[in-house]
Amino acid sequence: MNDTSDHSSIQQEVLAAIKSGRVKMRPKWYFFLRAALVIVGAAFLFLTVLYLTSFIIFMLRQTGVLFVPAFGLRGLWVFLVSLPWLLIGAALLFILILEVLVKQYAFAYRRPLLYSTFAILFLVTAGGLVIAMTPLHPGLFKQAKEDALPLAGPLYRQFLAQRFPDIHKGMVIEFVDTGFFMKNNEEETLQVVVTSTTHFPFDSELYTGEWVVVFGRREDGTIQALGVHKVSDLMEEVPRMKGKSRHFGQ
Amino acid sequence: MRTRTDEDIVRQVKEGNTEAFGLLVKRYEQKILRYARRFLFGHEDGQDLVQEVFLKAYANIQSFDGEHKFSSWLYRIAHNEFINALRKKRRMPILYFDFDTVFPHLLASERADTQANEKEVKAMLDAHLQELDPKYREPLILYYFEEMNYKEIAEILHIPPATVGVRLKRGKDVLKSLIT
Repeated sequence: MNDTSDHSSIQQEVLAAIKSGRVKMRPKWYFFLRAALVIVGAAFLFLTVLYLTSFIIFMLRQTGVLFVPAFGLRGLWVFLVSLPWLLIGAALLFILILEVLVKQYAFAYRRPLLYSTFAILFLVTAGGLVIAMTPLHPGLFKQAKEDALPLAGPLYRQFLAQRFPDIHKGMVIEFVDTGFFMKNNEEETLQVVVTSTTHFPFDSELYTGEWVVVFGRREDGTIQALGVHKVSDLMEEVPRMKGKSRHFGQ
Repeated sequence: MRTRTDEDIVRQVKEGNTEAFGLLVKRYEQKILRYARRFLFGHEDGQDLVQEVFLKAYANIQSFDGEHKFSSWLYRIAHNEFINALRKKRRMPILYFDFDTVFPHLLASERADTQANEKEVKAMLDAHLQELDPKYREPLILYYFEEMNYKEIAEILHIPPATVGVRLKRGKDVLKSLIT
């Protein structure tokens, strides 16, 4: 192996390619632009994931799915099957792309992947929770119902109009011997039958005008309540007014 | 005696001094050629690839910001070029998820091998390079033949320094299993 001839030929070939113009030095602005595009892309992805996460949390609260794990293993199972897996998959895909984008930078590759993944997941979850508590989604949902939201309208209408067989969210309107009546978002009046086996995870004193999530099978207009969970919805359109109360004791 | 650092020469190249780039090529081509020959182990045309490495380095020289050593930056370009060559010839999977980089490892202290031990490892490497997975082959080459430390290898491979230690240890274990 002739190292000397390797040496001079590589150097010569490289310099010849440069002098002939076959290889050109990329200008500084090319790298600034590339970095800027990466930053913009990463920011867009992050905001999209943040929006999706907050939408998922809002949707779970709005439909009552968020509260059913309090009703034991069956509630947990219903919760898992009711999750918007398509949206969660999309959010995870964006997080993966974001991870790939940041991996080229020293702050990411010098540490185990787990750290940057946890950091992204933490930021996205915390940010999503904060945004879900703001009037953003209720406002957009209202516009979607009025058909005044061109792009995201179908997303709101499809996911927030979902009905889950065992999950019923509504406002308590009247107490009766067997339980109470409630009105849901579709303006339906449903009778909720409360028995000695109905589980109240946190507080068993209910008020008229209060929003609740009832877990149980519905047959026509009657729900056999396996569990009732109070919902403190700060963003309800109709403000909660505490009326009559009833304590469903053990 | 070297009077100008690599970074000084890079500054001149950035300002338009093409001949200065020839100096950098002269300084590094033997090292990069040696790295190519050992890593690719004759599967690919090392000379053409090494040429391509320097051409890419020239084309992208404005992206070198001096935050790291020029040698690490150049070896990183070489690493990418060689990995792509192996992938094209299907000697590596195209999409390859590296589990070693997912979890944290305790950083093994970088103890210098004794001279005898180092000779032994080099001899084993020379005899069994081709049989090693590129994932272990590369850090072993960079450590034992290019005489780089964990931090430098980590910068080239874009992995945590602790993972470098893990791969070196596993690579040596594989080598030992090959000779027994």
